[in-house]
Amino acid sequence: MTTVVPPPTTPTGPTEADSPSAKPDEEFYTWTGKARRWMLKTLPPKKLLPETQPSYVASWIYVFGMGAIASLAVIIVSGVVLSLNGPSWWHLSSLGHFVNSMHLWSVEFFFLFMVVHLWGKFWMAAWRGGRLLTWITGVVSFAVSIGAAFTGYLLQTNFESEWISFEAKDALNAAGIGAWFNVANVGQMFMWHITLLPLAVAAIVALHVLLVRVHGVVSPLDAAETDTQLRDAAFPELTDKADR
Amino acid sequence: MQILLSSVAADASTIYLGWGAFTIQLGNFIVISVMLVLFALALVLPFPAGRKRK
Repeated sequence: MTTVVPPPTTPTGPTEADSPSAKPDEEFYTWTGKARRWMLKTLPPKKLLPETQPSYVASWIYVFGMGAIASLAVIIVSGVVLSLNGPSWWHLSSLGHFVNSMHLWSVEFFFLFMVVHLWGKFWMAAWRGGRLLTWITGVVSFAVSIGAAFTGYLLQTNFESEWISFEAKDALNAAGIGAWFNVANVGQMFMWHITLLPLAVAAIVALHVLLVRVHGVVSPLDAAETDTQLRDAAFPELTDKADR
Repeated sequence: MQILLSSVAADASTIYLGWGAFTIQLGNFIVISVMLVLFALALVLPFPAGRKRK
């Protein structure tokens, strides 16, 4: 016996709602749908992972941010290896010494690249064009990174870390937070250094990069507002239509 | 201005540079100098051309 199924009254294939660019006037009733609409409007896939950048980005001054991110990746990977093996490993084995040094030097490069990136962005007033939050997240990531590096120096488990912690203890006691944030408590500092602070740095840096994608890479100060690239960056949909 | 490059090492392994009242550890001086040089070079050096697209 065969069953006759009437043809569907609505198409069952991919609909407009399934496509990456849902119609802006489409009704959404759930928070997930509303969040998806907001995300696609704010950061469509073409802006999130672009294939091209404006020609002014082809300058060495624009590479230091990515240099800092590459250093951060090495910091995280070497830090994971150190945390899995523990202090006796990085003090007593040659591979441990190597990974420990790699962790230190990637931090040095992270700060070096971040500072040159900061200088470059400061002198081109990179907070222009609605990029204030991008600037602020950069500043916050710098500040949180200092805290992450500081707690790292406390974890060397040698006389230097002891000296640093007892110098810092006086400062933090004077600030009134030394009883809670106890730099002489190596267990507490370990937790801050390998959980909270890395997560905070990674989250803020990720937000910083997403904001760069949303607003685009800031143009040089002497670029005219009528510049074709700046106009196209502000209204990509016009460029898309012109390309067709 | 008289520039005095002096070693006021309190510890044999640590070298300090001094210009009058200003004192800086050699390692910090090198890092800051490298950052300044990198910044200056980034502004003047030409960036390599990217791949030609079809």
